[in-house]
Amino acid sequence: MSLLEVENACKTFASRQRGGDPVQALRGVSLQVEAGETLAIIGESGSGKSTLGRAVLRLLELDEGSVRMDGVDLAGLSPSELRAKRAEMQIVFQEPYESLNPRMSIGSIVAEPLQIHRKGLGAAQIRKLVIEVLERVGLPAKVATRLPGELSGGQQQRVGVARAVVSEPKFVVLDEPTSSLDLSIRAQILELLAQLQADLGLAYLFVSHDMHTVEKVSDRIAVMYLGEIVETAPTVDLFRSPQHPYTQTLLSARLSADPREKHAYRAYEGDASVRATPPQQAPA
Amino acid sequence: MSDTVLDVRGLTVDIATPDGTVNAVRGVDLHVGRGEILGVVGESGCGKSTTIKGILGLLPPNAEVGAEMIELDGYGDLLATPRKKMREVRGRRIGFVAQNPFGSLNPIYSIERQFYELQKAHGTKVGKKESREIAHAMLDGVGIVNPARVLDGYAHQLSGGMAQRVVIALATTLSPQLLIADEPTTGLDATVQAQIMDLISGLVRSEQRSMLLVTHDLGVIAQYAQRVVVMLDGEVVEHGPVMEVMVDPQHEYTRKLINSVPKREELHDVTA
Repeated sequence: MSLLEVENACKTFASRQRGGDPVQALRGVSLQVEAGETLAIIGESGSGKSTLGRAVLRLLELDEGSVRMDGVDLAGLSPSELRAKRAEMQIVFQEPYESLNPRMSIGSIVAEPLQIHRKGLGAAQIRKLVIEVLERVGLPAKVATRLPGELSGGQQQRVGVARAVVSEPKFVVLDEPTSSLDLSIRAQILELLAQLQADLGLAYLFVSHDMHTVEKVSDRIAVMYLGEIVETAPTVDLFRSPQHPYTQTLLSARLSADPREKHAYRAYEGDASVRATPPQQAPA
Repeated sequence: MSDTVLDVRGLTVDIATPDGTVNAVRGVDLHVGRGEILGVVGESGCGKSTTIKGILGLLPPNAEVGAEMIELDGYGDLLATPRKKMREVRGRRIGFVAQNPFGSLNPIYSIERQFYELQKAHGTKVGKKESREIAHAMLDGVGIVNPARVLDGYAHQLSGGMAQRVVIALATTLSPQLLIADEPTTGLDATVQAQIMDLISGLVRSEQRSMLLVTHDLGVIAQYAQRVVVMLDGEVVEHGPVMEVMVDPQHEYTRKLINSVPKREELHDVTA
């Protein structure tokens, strides 16, 4: 049994435009995440990757299909059971500042999961655990009294990571956790995430649009296109011999920072960007 | 006609704030050759966007721009050009492509009307029919499959990639010799980025235009620029041909930037 098992996940959203076609964000997605591993979901805008990241935490309800954590079907849990289960499954969002309450101190933001999930703890114990986790993510204890707006983007994202790991989860969804950060800060956050994974045995679902990043951090990669996973493979294999034509196109779009490696972009017949109406399905 | 299209020497930008003056740009030298893409790279706050806004005269009144010279070939001194006159320079002599295409397009004009207004504003005598023909050809030239449909529509109906193509078409309609682009593909999908950058570099190459390309993306610089300027804290710390600077960086900061890009080899080393 895998830690996380998603089977035939389907989700359709009504169109935002009146009379528009509904959007099939997930069309029968199945995947497994093993304990301690990083599975990357790579895809472009509208591929359904963020919908998937939210669906596996039951932050939105699926139309069809199931998500099981440790063999337990999340859809079958009552609200209070689900809340208890959420201690084990957490999320780090793309925009660090947007995801932190601007009026709460860093200390209270990080303490909140403990107050919800470990009700037996006293104030002094909580304070001690908060300081410990802040140090673990590379922040000095004194930031506990600061507000999110007083920190840099990189520090804010460290707070987001601290809040996600403080309840000792087994599984964390990372939804583009470094996309809004500068390059050198990005590298530091990726290093931190790798260190936490090694220390705490976390499994990650790493949602990203950036091939350079997922190549570095993931054990396996699932490629999403128009709501479907078109290919799943170990990272090394996927980069060495991509099987699906869309994966080949994605790889050809990577721009190497080494000018000696010349790129040659190969368009994909299903390319939605130049067509008036996006294709309804990925060509095989 | 000189081989240098844009020659900037000793550019400074001082911004007055309630807490005192910020020296955002401190003596930047750069020049763009004919048919060349010059990349300007650096992280947030290094002054790269302020540099080009200073050149374009797009900074707010509390910013003071100084320089030994800002010379545009075939025109003259940009620094001495009054604000009002700079409106004629932008569009006619320098095309500008900003990061967010939706900020550049007027949300309540049809795309067709924006081509017409552009030409009218620059004193080009065209009728509506002729303007539409020009616009149609421009959109066709930037790879838009159904130009007529886009011309009749509005900005909000376009995807990010399509909107940026429209902005590039507008920026090149009056055939400026120099294009300035500020993070033109940031925020776009990787496949769209590759298409847009292929388009831009094709436009530069085919018509011997020149381009000043500002980005934080080292991949874009390495693959599309011929020369690069690396900025840190309002100053140029390293400049030279991309083949030299990106392959064998001399300055510590450039090395740090390049090393923070995840590399393929490292991964293969780990798994080997």
